[in-house]
Amino acid sequence: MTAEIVLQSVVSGLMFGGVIALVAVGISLIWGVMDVINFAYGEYLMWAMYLTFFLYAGAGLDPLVSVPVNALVLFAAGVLTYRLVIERVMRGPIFAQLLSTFGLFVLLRYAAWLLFRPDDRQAQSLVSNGVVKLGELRVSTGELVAFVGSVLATTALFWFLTWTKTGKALRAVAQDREAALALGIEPDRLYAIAWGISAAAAGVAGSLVSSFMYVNPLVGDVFLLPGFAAVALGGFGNVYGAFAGGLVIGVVNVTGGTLTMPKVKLALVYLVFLAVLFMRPRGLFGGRRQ
Amino acid sequence: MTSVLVVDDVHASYGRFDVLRGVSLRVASGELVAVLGPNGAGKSTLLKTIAGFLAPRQGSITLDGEAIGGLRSPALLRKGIAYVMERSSLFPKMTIKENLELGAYVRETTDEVRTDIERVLALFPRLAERRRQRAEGLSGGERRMLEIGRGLLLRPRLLLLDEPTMGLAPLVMDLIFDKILEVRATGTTVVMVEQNARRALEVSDRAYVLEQGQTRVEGRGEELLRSEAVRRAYLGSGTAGR
Amino acid sequence: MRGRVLGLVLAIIGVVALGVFALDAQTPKEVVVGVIIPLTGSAPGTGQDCKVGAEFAADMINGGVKAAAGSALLGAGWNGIPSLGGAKVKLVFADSQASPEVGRAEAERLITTMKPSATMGAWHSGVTVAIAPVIERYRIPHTTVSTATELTQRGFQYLFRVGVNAHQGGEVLFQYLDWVARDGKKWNKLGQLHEDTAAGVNFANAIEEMAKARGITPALRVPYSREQANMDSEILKLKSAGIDVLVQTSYTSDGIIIRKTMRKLDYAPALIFSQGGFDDDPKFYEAMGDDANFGSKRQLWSPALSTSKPILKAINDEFKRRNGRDMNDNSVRYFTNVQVIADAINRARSAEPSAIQKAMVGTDLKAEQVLLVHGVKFDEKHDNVLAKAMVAQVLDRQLKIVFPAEAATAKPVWPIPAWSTR
Repeated sequence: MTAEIVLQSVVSGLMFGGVIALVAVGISLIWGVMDVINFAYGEYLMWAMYLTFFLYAGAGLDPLVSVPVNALVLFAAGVLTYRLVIERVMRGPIFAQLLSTFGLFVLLRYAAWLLFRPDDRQAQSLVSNGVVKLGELRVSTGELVAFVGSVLATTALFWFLTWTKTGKALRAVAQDREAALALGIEPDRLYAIAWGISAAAAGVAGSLVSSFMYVNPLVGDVFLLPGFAAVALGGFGNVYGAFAGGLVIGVVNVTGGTLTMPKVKLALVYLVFLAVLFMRPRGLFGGRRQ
Repeated sequence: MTSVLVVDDVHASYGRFDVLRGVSLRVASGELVAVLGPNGAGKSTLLKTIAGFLAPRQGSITLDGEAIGGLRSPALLRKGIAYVMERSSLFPKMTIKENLELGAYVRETTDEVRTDIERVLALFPRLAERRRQRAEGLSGGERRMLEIGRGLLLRPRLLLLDEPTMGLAPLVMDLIFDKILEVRATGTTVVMVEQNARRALEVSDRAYVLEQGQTRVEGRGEELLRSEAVRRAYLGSGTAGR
Repeated sequence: MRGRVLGLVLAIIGVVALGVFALDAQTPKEVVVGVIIPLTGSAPGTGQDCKVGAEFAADMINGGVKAAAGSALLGAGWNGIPSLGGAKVKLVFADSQASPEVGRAEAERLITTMKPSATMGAWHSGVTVAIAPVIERYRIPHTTVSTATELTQRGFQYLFRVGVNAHQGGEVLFQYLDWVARDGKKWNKLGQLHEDTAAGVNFANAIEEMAKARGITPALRVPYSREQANMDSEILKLKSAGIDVLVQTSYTSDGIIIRKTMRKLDYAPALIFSQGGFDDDPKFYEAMGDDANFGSKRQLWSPALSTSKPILKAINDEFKRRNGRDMNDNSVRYFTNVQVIADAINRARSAEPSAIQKAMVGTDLKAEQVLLVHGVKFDEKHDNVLAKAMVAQVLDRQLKIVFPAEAATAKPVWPIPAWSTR
């Protein structure tokens, strides 16, 4: 186990972590704004990957070109989910809220199974097969583009939250809903926007990974579980922490697997998740923050 | 006398609880009016009803002659009724500046808003020096000032303050009352609910005393201060401070 | 009076009708054979290969393949099962979706609704392991080519393994290593990379056992779960340990990711030996292009064998004419599966599952009679004692037999060239 091998594993972990970070930000946004845990998040990503695949198979669209298409379609899907499902269960007990996203998870997964069958499908991109050399370190172009794309998407989201009027209103609603209402801010509209953005993030992530990852109805699991671990690590509801958490989880996954046994790399992620929950529940970066 | 606000025989309830059972008051432009009374008298409920969080069952509320009873919050904000809650209602993780910006949420984002923010910060120099600091790091008095300042970002016709000095140390209370007077001096009409009846009467133009959801006493500030009946009933045990 | 006559007439008609039906039952028009394979799921390409191979064999047995006429192949001159008056073999397919749970449910559904006389399947070892108890419970004789050792360790009476098991498949690796050693090729460390279901685990266990028996200590074993976006840690681990003889079991999608990662991380062991799976799937070759080259695998068949078995060329050409591609390990194995079943039905002179099972126990097919390089004869555990494998290497994007010398059509390339030179 040379230093070079370890360093390579860290770099590979960061690349993977970039996508996990985007997923984590998407999950964290909803959690922070309205205290809802979206168990179906991985399934949105899976559907986004299918959308990318069919655009590729049917219209020859490179997965990277699908990114804006995915973002728009998934944004609409997110808003629709809010209006049709979440809006109603928000008025109900917390149990109903949890079960509703779990129900969505089941619905989306098995609808995909029925419609698309369990075959693995792989889109091809311009960047599917290249390798970029940074000195002795190697990164596949697909991964690198996914990393950069994820960082860009997250930055855009942060910019939106920090500098736009709607973004600030969203943060306000997350911090004190009643006070926001008293200032004329309508939480309902903002919740719908938040769901749209959250789903759009999954859409972007789905497009980006389609250049190197095959899709089947189960693929959501690959991203959801590390995503939740990253959200926990970053502090529930803290989108900036979630981003950092994603990068850390990526490295834990790949480097941890390389240093110990690759078979346990997912278990390591769980370990981190559980450790955070038990020992420092507010995550590394503490408290809620929008 | 032109009344900015006329509340006429308003009745309001929370579910089955009748809280307001016929409250009437009027506020003239530029006045500082206090609303006093024991706990449970309906003071807060009155402000909430004027601010549109509760619809009156009976009676009318007019603002500059226009009937507003039953209108809800965002519409009333646009008509210029700013409401500062009893509890702390700042956005803790947002900066002083961001909190102020959100006060103008229902307005178009223009240079006017930016000027207003500067004007408010000039009114509260303690906030101006730390405009980029997060609200959660402020002291009790500073928070109140920020909340009042945020209300001002609406360029309100009417500023409603619900217990602005509650929980503050005596010196800070004085500071807040001073600031309220400064606000009134700029021409803003202020209605404030207060527990500290003595100090409130000292600074306000006129005052109403509510009891059990109805207007009991009305008069000019100094008059009520001097009244034996009022002192015995309301200035004896319930007041804080000197 | 008229009522009684009518009743008698009806009774006679009834008896005659029953008799006709009874006669029919004794000589059925067709014999139903179930095939459980992954038509969808992670290996649809291989599932399709198995399907066309089986259909080709059934067609031959039913008299539809003229190219086979006059050969020693079992079923070549037939027109349906001879001892059953020419009853046609009818295949019914069930899709395992590459999932043990689905495969099991589908097997049960197929058996209970179609009432087959025999079945075969399921290609994925994990699925076969899941359906074996179902087969056994319903007492349907079943042939399989899955390699998982446990299939013949659990006393199943109705399951018969036609192809190599893990040991027989792994054996050829060590023979191959001995052979290249004589050529002066050296290597240091043996390692394994395998998916963690029955196929990968069983083969890896067998390899470990056989290695240790030969005094070779396996240096590293890296199992992995299939649903992954990133295989970097696996490859880095192998690279870091200096593994130069790598035994790999992967299915298509993970096979593709692994090969791409090897290229990205510049890892090229001297030998990659696979028991089959990803490298039998045309999709792998499509996706990888030249990067598929130089991997080796346990091979059971090659069109090039026609030099020693001329009928193979005729058969392969006919298959190619019908399906647009050569036969491969999968289509050949399923072809042979059908042959074994047809032979047992014929010798049993019955379409009853229990009779077929008894006949199958006594199967004794010579190599000339089947498409595989070896004959079929079962031991008491129902392994095929005659099963053996060859080694093929991907050269110019095609599998070519490189060992044993008698069957070889190309010289092996050892070691695998470094990525930078390709």
